[in-house]
Amino acid sequence: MEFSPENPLSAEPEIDTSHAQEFAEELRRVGDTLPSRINVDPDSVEQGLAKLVLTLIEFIRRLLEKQAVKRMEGGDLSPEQIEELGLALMKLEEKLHDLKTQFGLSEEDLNLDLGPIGRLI
Amino acid sequence: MKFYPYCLVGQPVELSELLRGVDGREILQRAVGTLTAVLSEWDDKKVDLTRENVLRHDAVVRQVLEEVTPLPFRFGHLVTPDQLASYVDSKSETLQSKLQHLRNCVEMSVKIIWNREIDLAGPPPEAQPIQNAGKGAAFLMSKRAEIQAEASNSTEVAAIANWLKSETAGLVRDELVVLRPAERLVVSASFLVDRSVLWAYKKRTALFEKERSDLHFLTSGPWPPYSFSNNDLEFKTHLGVS
Repeated sequence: MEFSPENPLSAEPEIDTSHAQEFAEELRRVGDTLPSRINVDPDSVEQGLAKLVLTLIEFIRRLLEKQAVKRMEGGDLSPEQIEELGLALMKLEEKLHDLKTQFGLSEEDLNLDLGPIGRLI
Repeated sequence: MKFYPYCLVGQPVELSELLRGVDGREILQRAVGTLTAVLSEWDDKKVDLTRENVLRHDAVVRQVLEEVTPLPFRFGHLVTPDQLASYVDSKSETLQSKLQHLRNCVEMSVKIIWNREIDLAGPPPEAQPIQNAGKGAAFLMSKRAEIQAEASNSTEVAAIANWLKSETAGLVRDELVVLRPAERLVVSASFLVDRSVLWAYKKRTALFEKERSDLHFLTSGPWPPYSFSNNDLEFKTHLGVS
């Protein structure tokens, strides 16, 4: 069945792009980062839960960073406080990196698909 | 016994007797409340996530789409007859309203890749140097640069989305546009398009590449309106099934 004004709904969807390879790579990459459901298979439940918990921690960590930068820009922190806050956030980032490695997760794994409103991070 | 549901429609539709569903099962149509569910009967067996099964699910929904626009379910749900009836009964008005919204429409997709390198390092920070800056302060300054770059990217991506919306205005009934400023695939848009203007919509989107050489486009469709029915999310919320 051909697509035409008289027959606007073709039997098969059409995919049109001049950059097929580029989109294939990007879609594959995005697809790989989308979290699958938490698997209740006993062998992988630990990693599934770790992924969920670490995603939430990562989300909160980023919020804390933004808040810290706002306070720094607002000028209500002394140089010593900026240094302390920066060190604390740096250690938090390092700790999270260690935990990700421990559970075999990459940075792209730490995200949640929130359906129509997009992804958490 | 359980059901494997493919989609909901307002009235029974004509389907080929040769059409087979997931796992090669027969396709049935059952009245559920004020709607009709297109489904297969199921036993205790798991639904195997295979390419063939996913394509069979899609083939059923697609054949229904050729007759009428359905409220499709995503692949892999299993429910008891009581669960399905409870879901439809409790959401009867919402489901009818959604069917009305989707009537005679299909889903069309536009994905956009930004044809440039994303600069997440961002511009050099403009803040006053911090006295005796140590590792911690340097860390915060680098985060500040990242946040500024993200904000700048977000503004540009929002402008792309606004351009896309203005280009498709008048040709779409509804739209869902997801922005990802930190990635190369910056915009994923789904448009609900009435079949009567599908030809005009396709002619319009065919011009995008010429108009925006800074962007790469992938347009596709017609698809069943998965993005606009959202049955999957509601189903899980209501029934706790997967």
